[in-house]
Amino acid sequence: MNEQDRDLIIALAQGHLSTDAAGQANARIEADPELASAYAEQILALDHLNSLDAPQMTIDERSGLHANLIEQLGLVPVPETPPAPAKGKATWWAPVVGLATAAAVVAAVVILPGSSDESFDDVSAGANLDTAVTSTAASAVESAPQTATDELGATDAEELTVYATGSVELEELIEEADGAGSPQAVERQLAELNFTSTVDLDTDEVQTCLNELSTDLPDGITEILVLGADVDNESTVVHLGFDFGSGVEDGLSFVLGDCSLVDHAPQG
Amino acid sequence: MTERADRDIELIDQYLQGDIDAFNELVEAHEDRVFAICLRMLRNREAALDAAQDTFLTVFRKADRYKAQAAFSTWLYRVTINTCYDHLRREKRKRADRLPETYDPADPQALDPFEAVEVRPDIEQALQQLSPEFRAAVVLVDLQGMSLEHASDTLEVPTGTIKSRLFRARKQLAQSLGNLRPPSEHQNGDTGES
Repeated sequence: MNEQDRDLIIALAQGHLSTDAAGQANARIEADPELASAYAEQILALDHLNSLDAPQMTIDERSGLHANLIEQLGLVPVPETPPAPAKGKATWWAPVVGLATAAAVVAAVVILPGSSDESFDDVSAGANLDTAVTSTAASAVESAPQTATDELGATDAEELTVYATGSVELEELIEEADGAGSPQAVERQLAELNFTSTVDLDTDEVQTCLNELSTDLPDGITEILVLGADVDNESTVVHLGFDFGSGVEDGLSFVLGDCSLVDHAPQG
Repeated sequence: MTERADRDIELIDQYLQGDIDAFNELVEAHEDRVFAICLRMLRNREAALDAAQDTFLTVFRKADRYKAQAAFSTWLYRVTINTCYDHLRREKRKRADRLPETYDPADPQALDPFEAVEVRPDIEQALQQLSPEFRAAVVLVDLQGMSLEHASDTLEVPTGTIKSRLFRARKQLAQSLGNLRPPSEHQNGDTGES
């Protein structure tokens, strides 16, 4: 059977042929056992497929989906949280959803390539992680409307204001942020830990370390969020959360400046 | 563009300006179809809900990149299918870590030891035995009623490839199902000619 025969069978099975053409096709199929067999298989499969009911969400599933989307996209006002940043630069991510909110503390969103809409993504789906991390700043900017782009691009050394996490371990931050997939959701969930101060991070420095640590990042990350930072006299440790498509599930910590990884093995 | 497609473009613009009603209308207009595609692709209801949610999150987070060169629904359903592919890949990796010794993946009739509970071959089970690419063609065209051209745009493959996948997928389905006739046919004696 050649391609034309296949197309004829498909067109007939789809009901795409005129009455005359369908009559001729039927006559041809009846005269050729191979075509007849192939056509019968197509019809049998279609009959079975047509017997399936259209799946429907329940009311609870529907309302759950809406609620989750609204939360994950930050489409609700962010509740009052600890000290507002003085610089007022920290809301650049908020217009990502077109609804700027008066958030006090931000988490950086870094979108990596390879997500689910390759054709609309300027970054090649085949880009390796190194390329991906190198381009994260641009990706983050791309995901925001023009006003946000302009604001972010306006200064060379933009700052992020994040929670000062003190002695709280990364594991606890991840556990608290579990499932959150947006900066707002992360911020809201981490607020439960009652942090009382914030830290300003230089985005260029964070970006530099992300580039250096690219080989340490697990596969499948769709977003990286800064969960917070711990500052002492000698160093600043930045805590990252990884979203694999369904909210923060993992993460790592590194020392800002030398970009060394911090071991978070369970305390003995 | 259809009326629906034009309306979708308006709604995306309004959403990007912060209109939450536009968001609600877009979700409500497409959620049933997105969910149906996800459920047929993944079979598992919980996974389908997760995939539907991930699809909308991706689309709304990147809504500013939508250029209206294609219908919004084409982009949405493309993201839906790709999200399902991602879920299937993740699930496959998870399973590879926990397969029992008795499981023989070389046996095409082998039941998934973790999900399959029915022995009777049925259309849903047969669908799951198709490759994700074949299944996507069947789900979009045969179950969602999409035209071959729309499916071609959605999956970003030539129309000829869609036809080939459909043809081979249906053949595989028919062979999986043997001589079983669909339930409705037992009742009305319809020959299924269309």
